[in-house]
Amino acid sequence: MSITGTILVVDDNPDVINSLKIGLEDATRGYRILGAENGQKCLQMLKDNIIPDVILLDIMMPQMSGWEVFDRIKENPSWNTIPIIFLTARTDRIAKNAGSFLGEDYIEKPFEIVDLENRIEIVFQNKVSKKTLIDKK
Amino acid sequence: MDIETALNESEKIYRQIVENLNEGIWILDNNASTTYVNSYITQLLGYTTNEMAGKRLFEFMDDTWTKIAEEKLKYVLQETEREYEFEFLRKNKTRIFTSAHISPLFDVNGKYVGALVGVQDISYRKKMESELHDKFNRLQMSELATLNIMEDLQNTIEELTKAEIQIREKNQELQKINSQLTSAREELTILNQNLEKKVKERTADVEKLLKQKDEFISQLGHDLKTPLTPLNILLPIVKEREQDPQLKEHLEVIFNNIFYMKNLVIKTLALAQLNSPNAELLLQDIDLFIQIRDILKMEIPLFQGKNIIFENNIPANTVVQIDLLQIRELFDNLISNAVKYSQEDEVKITIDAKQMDDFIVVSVKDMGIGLESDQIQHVFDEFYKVDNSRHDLQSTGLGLSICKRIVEKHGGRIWVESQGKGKGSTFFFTLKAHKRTNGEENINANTNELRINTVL
Repeated sequence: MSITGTILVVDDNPDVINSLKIGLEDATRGYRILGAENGQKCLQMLKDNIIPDVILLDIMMPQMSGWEVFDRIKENPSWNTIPIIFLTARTDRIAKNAGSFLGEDYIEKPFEIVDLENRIEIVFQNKVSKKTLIDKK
Repeated sequence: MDIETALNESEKIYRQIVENLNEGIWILDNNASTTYVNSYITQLLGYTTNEMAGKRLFEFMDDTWTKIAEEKLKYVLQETEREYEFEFLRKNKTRIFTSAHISPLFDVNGKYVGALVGVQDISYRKKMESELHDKFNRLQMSELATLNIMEDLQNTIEELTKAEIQIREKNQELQKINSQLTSAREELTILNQNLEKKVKERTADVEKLLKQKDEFISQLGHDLKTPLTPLNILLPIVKEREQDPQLKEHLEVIFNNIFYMKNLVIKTLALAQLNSPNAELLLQDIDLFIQIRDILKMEIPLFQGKNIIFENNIPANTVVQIDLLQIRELFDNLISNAVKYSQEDEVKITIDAKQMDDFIVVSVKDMGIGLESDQIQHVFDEFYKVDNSRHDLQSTGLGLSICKRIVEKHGGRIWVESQGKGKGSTFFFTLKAHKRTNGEENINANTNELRINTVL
């Protein structure tokens, strides 16, 4: 069963946003893909109450880095439950470790679209389960 | 008493005196013939009075002494008394040294009528003299020897003095050399300090360069991977959607080359990372069974189209000390190779682990095309591909080099065994085991959260 969900892609490379829009768009799944070219735009969207079901967050961005965006999101109680998947092209350990130690998921560029789809699926399924549990209570 | 009797008495007395004197009395006539000898003489020489009477003095001497005695007797005629030394020959032919005191005798008219020789045995004296002489000689020789010794000593002292002077000079030279050495040592110390400083600087330079290199590689990695990202997403989609067979073919070529480039970029950068001395391992205690299970779950969706059976035969509670991310990469490479080099559409990969002392030996076995012995030698070399063609876009030739570096960084060993072509291959590698003690909590809490959000 596919789940409808909103995916927010935050990446300074417009080609990445566009190709992800094309790559993740799948009639059977019904994902809605939004894009933000920098951290400020992302935060603005959240402030405008556009809350996605998952954020794909690039780390290496010129003005506001992915870490900063992450911190801002986690600071805000209305946003800090949004699951985040880091997109990173960095080969160094810092990124990888930070990604894993922060408890979020990360995926290395260039990734296989299938891989990313799986992770997104898992995130959505978790959300549903949590929601079901809470609802049951 | 009349005169004759008185004379006879007198004569008797004198005779008695003369006879018993403890000195030899020998009276000679003017021809040196014996007219009287007393008993001292006869006893001394061993002759009787009759044997000696009338014989010349010289008949009791050898030729040498005869000459001497004759000569001496002549001086007597100069009317003086002399003391001489004569050597007589005894009757038994032995010699006897005497002192002879010769006094000339004159008659009433003053005419020389003979000599009175007073003889004393001086053999004892002579012996003493001889001994004294010997002693004196010896003393002289001794003195000479002593003088020689003293001279030698003197020479020795002079030489010693000279030697002492030389030693003093040498000593001064040595002191000079010593002070030179001291200053040389000081120079060396300074040089050493300078060298150490230089080494520190160079090392700092090298470390800086290495860090720059690592940063460059990281930046390069990012810059190469960024354009590849959209390519990697869009190309498969375009390829799938394109209906025109010719265009589809072109797209296939494009796709394969991008695919190859992507792998090359990822793997080359991974290898460069592994070779960098700055790359540290983050070791954690991981349960291998659970880890493999999770990896396999992830791998399956990536191999769409092929029917793959994974067999996880790792015993439960096999705990190893590994860097999680690197071990994932290791298994990714081994599994992807197993799939790539399979023979049929159905692929069976068996993963096993055995404990051997402090190590766990992990094996990844496939039923693929296998390896010949000459291939086995090179299979871990960088850029080595089994079909020897560098145009094979499916393989970068780096996967196993990466595996080798990862295993070696963990202090282990990796090797491969194969029965030959078509008989599959088994890759073995060793990892350090962790000794699990009682009461240890579930150490996979970390693992479960990492990367895989498992279904609750």
